Amino acid sequence: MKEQDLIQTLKKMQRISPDTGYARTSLAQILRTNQSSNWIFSNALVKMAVGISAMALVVVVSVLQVAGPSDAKMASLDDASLIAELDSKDFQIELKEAHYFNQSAERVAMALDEVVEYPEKN
Amino acid sequence: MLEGEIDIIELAKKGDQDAFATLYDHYHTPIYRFVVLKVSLRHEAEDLAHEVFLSAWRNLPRFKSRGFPFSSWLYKIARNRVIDYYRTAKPKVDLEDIPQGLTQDDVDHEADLNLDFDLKRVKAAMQTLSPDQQDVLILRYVEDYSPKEISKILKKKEGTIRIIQHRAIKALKEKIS
Repeated sequence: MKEQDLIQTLKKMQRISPDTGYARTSLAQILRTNQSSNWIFSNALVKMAVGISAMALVVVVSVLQVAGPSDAKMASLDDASLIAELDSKDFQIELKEAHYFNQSAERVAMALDEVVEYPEKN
Repeated sequence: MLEGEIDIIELAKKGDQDAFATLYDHYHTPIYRFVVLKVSLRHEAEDLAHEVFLSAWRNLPRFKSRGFPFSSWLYKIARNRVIDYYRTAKPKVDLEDIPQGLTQDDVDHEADLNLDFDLKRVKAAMQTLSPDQQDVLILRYVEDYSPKEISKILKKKEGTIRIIQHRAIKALKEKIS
């Protein structure tokens, strides 16, 4: 079969049509179905589901705000403040150590003086 | 497209039965043809076409055009109904098992559509094509839509429609010869 013949044959299918009686009966049956009630029912379900989800979200957020860490705590957890805190702690440790070494050096010096002044005691 | 279709759809969306009947009168025959060419049996095609319009009526309040014609929505429902029909009502057939040539016996299984032999042979061969190829052939040659209109109905690019059409004709010729 040539392409043109094939296309002509396909076009003959335009003759296909439904039975008129069936078409009328089908339409009448469809129109007996309530369009609005189904839509309202499904729409109400969707709205209810969205409402419940929104309420649950609000509750979760509220609980987190009350029970969760405060803004001050959260703010103190950023990188910059943590590094600054760490640096200052190191600095304090160094000061304490310097103070200790200073005191101990004085004591050692005093002890050495005593040893020099009173050698017979030792 | 039906004259004043947008207004008619808006009325039908609000439950206006006369408006829906107008849409039904305009689109029922092409949708029925679309279905019957895919499932063959007249009574099954009638059931499926009925389901398409029942679904359309029930879901019409939710219909949004989004720039596509109303027929696009109806054909989409029809395609889904046909897919469901083959998924549930017919045993699955491996594509390898589909015979390349179609005999008079194959054609005799067709519906009582009073078609001549060539027509029945082409129709039977069409059903071995892919769903996309069937859709394009039906819309292009049976419903006389342009490739541009088909691209809107099937939501594909116009170039893609032309390629599918070319391949469908080629495949159909091979199956018939």
